[in-house]
Amino acid sequence: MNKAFNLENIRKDFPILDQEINGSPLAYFDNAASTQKPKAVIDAIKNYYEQDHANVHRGVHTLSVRATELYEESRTKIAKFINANASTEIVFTRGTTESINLLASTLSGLIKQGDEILISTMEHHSNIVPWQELCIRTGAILKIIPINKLGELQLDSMEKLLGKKTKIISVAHISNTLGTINPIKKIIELAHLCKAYVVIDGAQAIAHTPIDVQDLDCDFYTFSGHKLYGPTGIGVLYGKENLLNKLPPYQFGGEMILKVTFENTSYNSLPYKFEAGTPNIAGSIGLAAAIDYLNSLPLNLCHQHEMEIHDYALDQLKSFSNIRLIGESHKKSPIISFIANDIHPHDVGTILNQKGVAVRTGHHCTMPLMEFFNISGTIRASFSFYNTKNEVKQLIGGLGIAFKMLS
Amino acid sequence: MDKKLQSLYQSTILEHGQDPRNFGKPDRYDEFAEGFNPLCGDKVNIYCKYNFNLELEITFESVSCVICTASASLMTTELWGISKGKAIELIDTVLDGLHCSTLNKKPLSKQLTMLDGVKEFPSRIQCAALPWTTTRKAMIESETRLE
Repeated sequence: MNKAFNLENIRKDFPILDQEINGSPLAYFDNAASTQKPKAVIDAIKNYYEQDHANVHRGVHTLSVRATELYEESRTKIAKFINANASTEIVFTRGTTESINLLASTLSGLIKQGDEILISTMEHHSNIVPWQELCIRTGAILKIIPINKLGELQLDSMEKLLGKKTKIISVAHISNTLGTINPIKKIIELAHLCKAYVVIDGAQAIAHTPIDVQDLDCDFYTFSGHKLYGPTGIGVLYGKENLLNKLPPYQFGGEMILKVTFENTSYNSLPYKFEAGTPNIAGSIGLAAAIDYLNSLPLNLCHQHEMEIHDYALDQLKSFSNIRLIGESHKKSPIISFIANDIHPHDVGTILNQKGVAVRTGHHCTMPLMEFFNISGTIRASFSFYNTKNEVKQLIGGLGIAFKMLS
Repeated sequence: MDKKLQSLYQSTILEHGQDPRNFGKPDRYDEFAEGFNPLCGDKVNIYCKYNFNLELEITFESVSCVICTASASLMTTELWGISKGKAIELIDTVLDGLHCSTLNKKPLSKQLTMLDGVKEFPSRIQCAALPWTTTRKAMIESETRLE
């Protein structure tokens, strides 16, 4: 039987939502920065620390066995969630940023002077700077796939940039600033024609669209737990097994070791080769609990609701004549970025907060994208399935006050 | 309207934020520094010039919020025409007031104490402080350059 979408019940699952900020009910529209946590996640972490904690792997005592089982079960659940071929293809990291850094660091052995790395104008700093550093180390060249004024990636320009020298393409699945959904399946297909590796920054996509890494045929997919209703400090690097096997370790010591002598050291198999030191066990358990929670919901209806809230907000925003939307892609996720004439986003953010509305203002770690639009920052409202139309009304009311005060 | 918001966006602040004084880049200047707020991407350029009496003529350019722009505008009107030593003294007093105590308790003009409104908004203290720290940087770093 199809599960029904019950907004009221869903909101009860998120204890943090039930509070007042500056005398108004909290309206949380900063989900692209971090989502809130359902009680199931908070309880899973608490239960783990109260009942099952010990260090993982190699322990013979009961708690260590339990912790190891929970940790590895989490990996299996994540593998299933994104339809990886095997749980050995799931490497735990601190988040998307560390996943991309791991790749930019370990892929450098395959890159030589004059090779080309492709990223796009809309990338987050975390998907720019690691590649810039790789280029500095190897003499490779960073090339930028342009976007149009709607904030859509220019596939035809990308095809022209692709060539024999292209070794890596790293792009966002969904832009954190614009909400643009990029045609990554097509990008992956084109890149593979040139034998380039494809890295997908899935930080924004993971919470808003089903991910099937096998269907996408991507080489690497990265995301953070905290944008998927899980805890902070845990993230995932998915990689095709044969490719992960090709790469050298990223950090050294602890779980990634197989055998050490003073003359020689050999490294553990996948995925442990990339997990040096004691991992974030509680984080992985929390993330698995988030996935269990999401699987208990009618996820397609949740995504549908998010877009309804997005469309409603977009419609309401039209009542202001001073607003310019930043990011009007035909394919969008529930993120709205906008500016309001000469009014600085930061001032708007402060006034909205006084009305209980949490939005993010500024450059959203996409400074080159701000430069493209010739602006210093935007006001960004990003939605989740727990948001309501009433909250949108609160946002619109707050904006009215802000614009009146500041213009 | 909200009292806290009213104290942050007082009419003087709004007025200076929207119509800043001493805005622009002079043809010639003795000291310069660029200030950047990584939190929001705001930028402030400070230009210091000294006349024959060694009195400061200070202007600025910025891409910034109301609070930062107003703070820079108020700062330039306060620092205009005083000596460099006095200017640094005043800057330190204001920065101490913003970060450690309150401007109200300092020997400052009434319009400068209006910046105290940011105290209720911790994330905005940096906005008010940026022009002052940038001016300090312009004055101190150019001294180092001269050495």
